[in-house]
Amino acid sequence: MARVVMEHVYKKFPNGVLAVNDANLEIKDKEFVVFVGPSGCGKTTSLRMIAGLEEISEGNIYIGDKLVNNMPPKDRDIAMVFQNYALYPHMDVYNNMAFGLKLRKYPKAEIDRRVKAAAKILGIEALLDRKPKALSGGQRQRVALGRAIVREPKVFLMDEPLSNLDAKLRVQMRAELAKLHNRLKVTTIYVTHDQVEAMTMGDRIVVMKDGVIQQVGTPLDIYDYPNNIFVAGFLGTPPMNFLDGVLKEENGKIYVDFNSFKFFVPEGRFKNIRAYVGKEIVCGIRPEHINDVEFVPDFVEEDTFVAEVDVTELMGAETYLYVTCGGHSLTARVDSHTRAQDGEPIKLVINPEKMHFFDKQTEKAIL
Amino acid sequence: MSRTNLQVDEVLQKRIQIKTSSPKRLAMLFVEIVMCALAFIFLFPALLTLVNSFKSHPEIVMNPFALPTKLQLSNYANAWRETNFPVVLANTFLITLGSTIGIVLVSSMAAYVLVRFKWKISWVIFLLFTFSMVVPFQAIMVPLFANAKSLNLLTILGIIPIYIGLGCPLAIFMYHGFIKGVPLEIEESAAIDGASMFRRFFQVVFPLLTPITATVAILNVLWIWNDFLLPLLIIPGQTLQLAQYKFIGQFRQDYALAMASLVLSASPIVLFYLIMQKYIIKGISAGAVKG
Repeated sequence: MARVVMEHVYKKFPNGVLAVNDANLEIKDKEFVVFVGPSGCGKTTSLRMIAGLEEISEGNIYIGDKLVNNMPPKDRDIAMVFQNYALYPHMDVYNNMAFGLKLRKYPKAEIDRRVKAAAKILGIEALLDRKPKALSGGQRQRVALGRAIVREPKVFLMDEPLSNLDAKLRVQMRAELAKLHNRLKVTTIYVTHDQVEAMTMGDRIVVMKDGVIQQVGTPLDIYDYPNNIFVAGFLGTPPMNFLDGVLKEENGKIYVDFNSFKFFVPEGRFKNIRAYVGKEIVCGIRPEHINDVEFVPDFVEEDTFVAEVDVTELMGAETYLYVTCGGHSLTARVDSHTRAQDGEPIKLVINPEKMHFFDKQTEKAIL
Repeated sequence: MSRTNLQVDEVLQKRIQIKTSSPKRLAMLFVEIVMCALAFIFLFPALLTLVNSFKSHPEIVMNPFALPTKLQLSNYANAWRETNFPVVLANTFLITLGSTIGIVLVSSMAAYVLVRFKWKISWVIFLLFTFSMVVPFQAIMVPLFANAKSLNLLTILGIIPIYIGLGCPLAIFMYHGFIKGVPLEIEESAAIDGASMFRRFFQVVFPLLTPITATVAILNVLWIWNDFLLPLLIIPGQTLQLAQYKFIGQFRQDYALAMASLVLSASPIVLFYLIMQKYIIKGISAGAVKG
């Protein structure tokens, strides 16, 4: 088992694109870390650099205590699961899983033992003599995982391994991957663009954008305390509402003025935010922190506002309300028994403790 | 049960309707007639050769379209002896097999490197190969002969590298297109598994190239087996096709032996086609999709 360290890692492609820009990260032994971000953010390039499939332009990568900058992939003691599984189509499942061990000249009995043990873990014992084309997407995914497991590597690298599966199977495999990690306790680096996967699977999440690591932390930390507008907007479904307003102080109270309505800032946060009084800021509030007043027993009148409902979306356990207030569009996640009607006004209440404030210029969080 | 039967009936009725709808049926009939006519035009010379191979020379001269009055099986025995059939057959077989294996190996490896190493020189080399396809053989015939002579290649084995050189451009072109469609991740996965570049190519990539390899092999077998001009320059009289030349010349015209010899020489390649036709069609269609 091993830790993985990236030290000032850069990747510049020959066409001039800077895919990874000064990445610094330490992944602890046995940790499950998820790289998440939109397409082209550099997450897959980072993974490929760790795998040795992409040369690094600058910086150092360590696996265990070894500097692996110039080490070929086969010597890094890693196993990788690809998005499209990358199974060898002309080999049956057994040989797909045994291929890496055969190349490393393991004894036949040991290969057989490992392949069968991995097949048992993944529930694919009955498929060992089948070719990949005779398998379903989920089964192929298991074989790809099996191929990684049999090697008993120091680090698992997974490049969007669930994105080719249908939604139901993805949820099922997500749980199985998490179980597998708990069982094997191998350092795992997982790349995805799906924030739900990131939130549910990772011990820690690395959020990336334009080649830059935006924030590293536990899922809840990142969700509750996003570093900047990008991270705040990227995690969470529906995404966080962002409202441009001016911070004002009156009669010892600080509030964000949105012209037709205002949100009061809780006193506990005055210290950090006072410097922005009189300036434009961005106020962020998650949909679950805006509720229908009917379902909030204790609320303060100054935390309420009236908005017009544009669309209601019943999700079963809750309802999403898409509302407009003073030219600002907001999404609220309210109780599914709300009486809100499209085109009708509704009185909503916010949880001021859960408001986020961002510097309009730097887009960084005002903590 | 009855409901299922009813559904089956409906489907069958629809099919019958499609079959019997008159404009479509007429169109199909027309296509079938044209195809039959084309098949006859293509098969007629072969049929004529087969029929005449059992006739005597005077019989052929009198009426080439008539059926034989008596089966002249001696034509085959004489043609076999005069052409030294086992020897020329073995020569042709050796040349065809050696050249085809060489073309498949060299061009698949070359195309792999040209596709996977995206250097500027790769593109230049690929273009050079492509350009060489448009140079007619007649244009290089004389210098090729001179070079082959100076390199002592005017032998049965010496013609093999010449065929490999001439056959590679088209084969590289075909492999190049196909290899581009092989997912890179499969090779990367093999690299992580510990495979060297050669092992990656021969154990992972090459088996995936089977459809295009079949196409390349078949095209080259047909070309090399039937080739006349290059062996005539390099090894006169020593291949199956050159042996046919024996019966039609300035001082001799023996159509009976010529026809029997032609049937003998064509039969291995026809047999090859009949055995391989499933793979030929599969290979050509796979090549068309991927290439």
